[in-house]
Amino acid sequence: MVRKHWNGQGADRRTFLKSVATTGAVASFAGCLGGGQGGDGSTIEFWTLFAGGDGDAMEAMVDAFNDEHDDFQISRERQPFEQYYDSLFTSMTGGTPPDLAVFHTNELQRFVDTLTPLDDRIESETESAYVESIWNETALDGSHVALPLDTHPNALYYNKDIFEEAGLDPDSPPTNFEELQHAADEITANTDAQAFNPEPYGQFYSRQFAAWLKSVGSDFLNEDATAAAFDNDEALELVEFYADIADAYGWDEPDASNDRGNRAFRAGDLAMTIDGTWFYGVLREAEYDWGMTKPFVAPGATEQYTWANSHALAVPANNSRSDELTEAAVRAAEWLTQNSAEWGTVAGHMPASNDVLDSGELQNADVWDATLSTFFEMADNDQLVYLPSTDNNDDYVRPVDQTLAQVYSQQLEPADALEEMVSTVNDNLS
Amino acid sequence: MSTRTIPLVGNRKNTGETLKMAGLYAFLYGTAFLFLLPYIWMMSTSLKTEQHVFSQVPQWIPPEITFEWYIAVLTGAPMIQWFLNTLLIAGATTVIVVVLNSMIAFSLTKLEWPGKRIVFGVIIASFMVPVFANMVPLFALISRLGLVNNPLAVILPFSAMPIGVFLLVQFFRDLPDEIIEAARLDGFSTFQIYYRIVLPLMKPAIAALSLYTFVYTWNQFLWPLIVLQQETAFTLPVGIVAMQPTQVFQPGAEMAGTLLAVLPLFIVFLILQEHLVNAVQAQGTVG
Repeated sequence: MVRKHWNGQGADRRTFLKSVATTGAVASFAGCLGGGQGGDGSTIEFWTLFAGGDGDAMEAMVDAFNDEHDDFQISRERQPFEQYYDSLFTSMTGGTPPDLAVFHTNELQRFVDTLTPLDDRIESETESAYVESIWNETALDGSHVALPLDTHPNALYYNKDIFEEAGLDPDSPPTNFEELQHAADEITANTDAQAFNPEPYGQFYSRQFAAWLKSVGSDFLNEDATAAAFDNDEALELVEFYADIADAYGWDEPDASNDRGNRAFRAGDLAMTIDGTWFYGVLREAEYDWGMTKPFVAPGATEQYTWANSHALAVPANNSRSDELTEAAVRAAEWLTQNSAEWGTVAGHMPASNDVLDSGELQNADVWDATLSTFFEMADNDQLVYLPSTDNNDDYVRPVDQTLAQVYSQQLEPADALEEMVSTVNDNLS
Repeated sequence: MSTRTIPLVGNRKNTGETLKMAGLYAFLYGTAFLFLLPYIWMMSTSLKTEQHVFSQVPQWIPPEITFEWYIAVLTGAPMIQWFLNTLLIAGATTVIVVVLNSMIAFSLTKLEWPGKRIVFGVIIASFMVPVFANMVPLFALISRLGLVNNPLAVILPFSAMPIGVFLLVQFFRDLPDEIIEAARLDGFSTFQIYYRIVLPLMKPAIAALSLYTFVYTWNQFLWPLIVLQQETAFTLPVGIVAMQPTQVFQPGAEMAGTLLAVLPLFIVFLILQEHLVNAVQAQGTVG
């Protein structure tokens, strides 16, 4: 091969000058693109973690707000879901927090010292605008730091076509463990489908585990959230249930890889799974008949609970922000949380606003009959379990998620798993 | 080419060699194809309908082709803006890195000045500091300079990567000093030697460094995520992740977005590949 680069005859001056000129142009272009921060004082920078159907609903609500308001406009900034709280944490410590941000209620504790207290900024009757149980989730130590947007509990979703194929009544899904066992056994015996997967994402085991723990009479953490409270036989039976699903019962594959159950359910290969309100948006596109019911199918359950979480809007504190803008951000939070019909009809979540829940718009929408009425019933009966709020929820969520995933995929004995979860959670929280 | 007649039945030695070559080619193409598989799967998934995306039996050729994911990605997000941001950041970083690093490497290898060994030592030592250790102080600095959401917040820190200096020093050392001396005798100034002798002769090395810097910057996720907080300021990798539906797995859209994001890199590679091969060859045969 010819080594032609050794024949170089000196640089072409024009090429060099051209590249220098390009650098200059690029640098000045950078100035145009760099949006600066904070805006002009009449823009509320609003951080969200919503994309997909959730993102569409939030976009519609923000657009409606902007149409209705002349003095202040909301600039919606989507952030990546998985990294959201890390980005938020950095922006708050770096002194450039957004004016308004979405928080899960169980994450509020971690940020509470850096949020604007709302008690003096909202009317006393504001409380009655929201469903009481959800409103209470946004109070920390008696003080309010956020306004609730919704609640999004888990439900049991099932494929009616597979039910029919297995000779089951597609309109009577299982309501307790015995019925789940019967349905799943029939499906395993009579169809090619997998019967049941309790955690289709393979990574959020702690959610339904916490709810089922309460169903069998155990707590997740002790009262002041300093230790695990599930070192007992009831919890062991639950952990054994996770192991049995793929082993003794043969209802599913012993595989906890990410999204496996989710894929299988969406492909029509899985009969029953447990998923949240947002799954409605996905199943609307499904090519099979599906239904949903309450996920009260834990073995040994004496009470009925499901996992839930809530989105809430809060105003991060910022010394360099004008009081006027802070006030506007609070008003925007009120407006968005109380004009949230699309949050139900498009995203499938249960709005926290009483007016929206009572409105014909929501109750006449397809989503109401399909899922929301059931979610509403569970919320109304106080059957929602929120994960405890600590300074860093990963301290107890992660050990439980990872260990139960190992149990589900048959890599760990239930008794050892329980011992490991308890000791790691205790170590992390103490 | 000469018109040599090929005997229909070759002698044993020729047949053996032909077979060996055929086997070698089959192996090489096979291996190359293995590396292509993920890209083919990516392309195939991005063209499948929702129903086939989740099928348990993997289908390489979509039974039904749809462009809905591409449309969703292109209309649902400011992809063009993200593309321009990424291009600007990767392009500007590459230009700055190449200009600065080649000057530094030139002065470290071809000029005499006191303490240059120490400076080079410090540059090499800075490899030892993990990027993550710098992030918090760097963010505080960027934030105080008012550069949050500005492309310069990514360009400036990425322009200070020591690896480029290290790479170019290795190449510049192989350049015979006689060429520089001859140029000096001809009356070239130091700067003229740099840009009229060294730069053209080191084209392959510079191409290699450009490609490395461009790809590295283009693909960066964590740092841009931290300092670019407005949707309009995102780069492609951050934007595509921000678009992933909350908790819902949407492979078709993800694959379409990712494919659009890697396409420009592929084009840049095609443009620079000749220089890249030369660079590897030069480095492999010299010294």
